[in-house]
Amino acid sequence: MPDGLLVLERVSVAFGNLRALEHVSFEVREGEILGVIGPNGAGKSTLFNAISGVAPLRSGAIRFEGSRIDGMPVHAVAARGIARTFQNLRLFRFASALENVMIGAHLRLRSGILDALVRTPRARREEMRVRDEARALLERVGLAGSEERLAANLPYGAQRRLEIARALAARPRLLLLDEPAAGLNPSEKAGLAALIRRIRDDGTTIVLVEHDMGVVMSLCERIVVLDHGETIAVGSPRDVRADRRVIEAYLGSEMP
Amino acid sequence: MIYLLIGIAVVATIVAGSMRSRALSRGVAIGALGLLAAVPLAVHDDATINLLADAGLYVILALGLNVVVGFAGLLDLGYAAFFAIGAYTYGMLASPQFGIHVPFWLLLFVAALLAALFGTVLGAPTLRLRGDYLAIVTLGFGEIVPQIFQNLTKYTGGPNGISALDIPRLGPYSFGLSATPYYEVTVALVALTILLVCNLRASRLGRAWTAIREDELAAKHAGIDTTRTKLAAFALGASFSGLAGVVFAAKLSLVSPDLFQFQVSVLIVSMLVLGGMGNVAGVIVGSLVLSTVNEAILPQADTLAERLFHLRVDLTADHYFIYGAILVAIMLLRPEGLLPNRERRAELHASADA
Amino acid sequence: MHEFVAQLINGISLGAIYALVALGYTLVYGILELINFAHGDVSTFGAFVALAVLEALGVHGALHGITLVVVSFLACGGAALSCAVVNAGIERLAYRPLRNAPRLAPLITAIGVSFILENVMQLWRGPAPVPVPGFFPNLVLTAGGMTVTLQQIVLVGMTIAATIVLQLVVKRTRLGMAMRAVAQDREAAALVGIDVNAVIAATFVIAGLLAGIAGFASSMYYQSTWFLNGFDAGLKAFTAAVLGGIGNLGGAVLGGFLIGIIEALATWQIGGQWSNVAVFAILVGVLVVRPSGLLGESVPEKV
Repeated sequence: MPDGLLVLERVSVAFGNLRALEHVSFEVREGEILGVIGPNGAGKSTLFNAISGVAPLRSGAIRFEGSRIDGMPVHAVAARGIARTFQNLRLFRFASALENVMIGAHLRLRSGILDALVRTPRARREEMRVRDEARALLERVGLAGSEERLAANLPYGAQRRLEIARALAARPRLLLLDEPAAGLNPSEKAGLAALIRRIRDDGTTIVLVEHDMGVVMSLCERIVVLDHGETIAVGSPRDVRADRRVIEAYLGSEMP
Repeated sequence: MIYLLIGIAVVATIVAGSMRSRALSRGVAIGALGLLAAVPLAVHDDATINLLADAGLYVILALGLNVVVGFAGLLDLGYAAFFAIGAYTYGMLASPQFGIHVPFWLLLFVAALLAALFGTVLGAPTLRLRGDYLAIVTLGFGEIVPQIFQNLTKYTGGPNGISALDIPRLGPYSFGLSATPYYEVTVALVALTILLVCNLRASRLGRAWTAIREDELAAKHAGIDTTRTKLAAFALGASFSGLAGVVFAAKLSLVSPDLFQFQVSVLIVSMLVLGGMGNVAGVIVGSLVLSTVNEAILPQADTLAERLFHLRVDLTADHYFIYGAILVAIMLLRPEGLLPNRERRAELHASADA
Repeated sequence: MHEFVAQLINGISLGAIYALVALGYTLVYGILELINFAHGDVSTFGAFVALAVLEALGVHGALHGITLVVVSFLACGGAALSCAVVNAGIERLAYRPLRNAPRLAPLITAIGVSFILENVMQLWRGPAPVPVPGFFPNLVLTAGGMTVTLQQIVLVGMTIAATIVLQLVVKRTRLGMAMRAVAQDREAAALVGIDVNAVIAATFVIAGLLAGIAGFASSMYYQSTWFLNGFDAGLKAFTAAVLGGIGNLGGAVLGGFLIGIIEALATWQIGGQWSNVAVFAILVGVLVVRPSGLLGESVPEKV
């Protein structure tokens, strides 16, 4: 019985007749950076959607810290300690950077309706704490001066980092990064890779979907390769690079 | 005179809203409210005080709806229904209708809670719906509630409603027949509403509403239980309306179904649209301006038109043309309203340029 | 039993009118995802125009034969054309500028337009209901103890005919194909070279025609019209569209007939003042239990 932090057991997801994921099984070990790669349309984003609760499973199970999370509503999965970023960025565009991160910290607060209405001392303390933590997070991802700027007005690279900061605000145990390097220039990519490593070193397990092979190979200790919704290889970067099925799957697209 | 007072209130609101410092903002607001509370000492015309009281009630209604529409981004087109529920609560529990005479002050609480309850009941099955569908359902609710009140004649007095409602008392003093005590209560409630609404906006709940409004899926991933959070907005918004309903009924000493028709819901939505949805100061300005237009200007519009333009017109029938025109004009020319917050302006113009 | 069937027939006739209005609603919603609040009022405007045509032709009482046909065509045609123009005008002036704005904006504008239309009609014919001369002969068909009037048959016939024509347009013509393309993915349609603005304008024209026909039908059947009719009918027609599955033409018609029947039966059993409550309860029920409606398909949300 696999005892990883996150375990997928023969997970299948389908949209009508389209089989997006077929009997996908693998585990994510605590403390690792796991890469998920595959040609376009392989099902990588669907994988994340299945884990975070957006896409229902046709069959199979997903376990987090031992208990099943498939079938739970999205906010409940998040409450278990799983956070993610999105392939096409889903920031709260017309809120400030600071507000975005503060919203990310929603789960770490306890204030309810009454606290909100009356501004109890507890609410006030929590607000100050959340604000300070958010500032610290922005600094950690390199956005120290941009607190008050509207998320929509930030440059693209900063927006990517903001989304990561927002995800981190919940202090997740598992962080799912969906193509965080997309559209970044080489120096930004290097900065991103360093940031991801720092996040893992601080105690968060990371699953990384990426197209950029340089980033994947340098960061990930293990890699899962998907093609047409199925796992075709799992292993270290070196093993995966040499795997014949992987090479065949990529033939015609970019080679790893 | 009424225009002068409303004007002062509008200016004070704009000033308070644009202050950077929280303390200054609060100071201006308290000063203005204090001034307004003292008005009956100088102004002795009961009709004017009554108009001011009505304006105050509209401010409360607009701020309440703003929680639902402006903060949480939910389209509620039947807000008058909760107003009716609050008013009829007073009408049925403080009148000869059943011979029950619950005190005014207690009924303020009861009505707020009852309205919140109905908000929850309406919201629970419907808040998962997409925006436009929710709009229609709330519209339907706004249509149905006055109809139900009209149909249940045995309990609600039917189309004629209930009249001769109890006159509130404070200790040994009765409110009597003048509008002033109701006005003072309204000013106090306006102050309370502003305080509560501003607190909500700056809280964890307020941020959750912002998240839902902007991107519901991302909000869920941040751990926000969107259904519960939307429900909170609905229920809280409704409770302000219930509150206003009680004061309205007591002041008028009458409740009847035709006071709570769709036009009232649209009027309040117009106040939000005109003033700037989401922005507390903007909403207050919008409600002050439109309620003045509605209560003071339009009834005199005929005489004004005749005097100014030598036109013989009957403008009372054309109220709704004017509102309709206002709504369309604002949406086309300045959809963010008169006093938007910068986020909303960016939001509305970004999509226009897209 | 006899009474039940009579009410059923009544409901079907009622439903025919709702179906026509619902078709226009669902057409516009399918292509723009906009609830055109003013649609019901446009339909009432059509009724007013039909009335004006009848008055211009000096119609006082029942007509027969060729005169009946000609007058009907003129009144119906006048209503349909004027509504098409008004609808297209509204789209061009009030909705098109807001095509990319957040959902709330065109919705509010639609309410504004609705108010303006209602007021125009109030100015035109006053605040009270206006009688319409009953120009249809009072012919009835009796079979097995049930009676159906000629009007009811014509009404249902018109609705069915309109539905068939509409289906043909949508499924068999180039315009119909373009409409379906724009409804599915506006940007993709533009990229393929479809003139999206023209297609949307054409949709509103067609919806206007339907609204006008509905207005004519309503004035003919009820022999009266009122400036506030549109609001009520609009709400019910929208309920019908949702019940049948918004965006689905057949659904709109089915929903329209169902709502008409429900309203007739509810009025019969629990009284007219509760019929609106009943319809609303259905609306909420459908949206909660099966938001895609009877004939619609559920569309999963894209991440």
